[in-house]
Amino acid sequence: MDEIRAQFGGRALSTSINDLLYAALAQERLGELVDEMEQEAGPASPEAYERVLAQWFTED
Amino acid sequence: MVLDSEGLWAVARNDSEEARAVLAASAHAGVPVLVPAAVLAETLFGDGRDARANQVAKKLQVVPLTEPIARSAAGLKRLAGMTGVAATIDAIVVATSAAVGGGVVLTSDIHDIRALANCASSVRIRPVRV
Repeated sequence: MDEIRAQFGGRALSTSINDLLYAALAQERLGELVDEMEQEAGPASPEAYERVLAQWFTED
Repeated sequence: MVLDSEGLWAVARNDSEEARAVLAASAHAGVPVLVPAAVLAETLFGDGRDARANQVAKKLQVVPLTEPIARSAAGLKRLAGMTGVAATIDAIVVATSAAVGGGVVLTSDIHDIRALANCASSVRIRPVRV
């Protein structure tokens, strides 16, 4: 427990747990949205992923 | 991952492979997808035409416009030499990204977003064209 408190600094542990639960719920909802979009229009093509990731990780 | 107005509409219309790829990659990698509240103000009509965007917004994280983000946006706008309402919203999008440590902005306006992102020198922000 001390290690967990140290990891999350001086913040109340319950606040940190709430943040983690909120983040997990948000990712679950995002997954639901992606599923809905792919059911409706199909998954993005490998070429689309390539275009996106090339921009995402482009260097200056 | 932060959506601007066109990014949000692309997700709502679900007519962009790039938007689906970005969201799927974000979901797979555990990257939060954020919508600044100011983008909602810019995007929504305030009537029944918003149904689709509202459905999408419920599944994403809407970020309030706080004073630090507003001040950061003002600074970015000045550094980029931009003025006007559209530039203000773009600056809020980039400032929101910077507030969470940088990342990617899904947008149709990569020129302006990149110009603002280049002024956020402490973080790496990349525009991805929708």
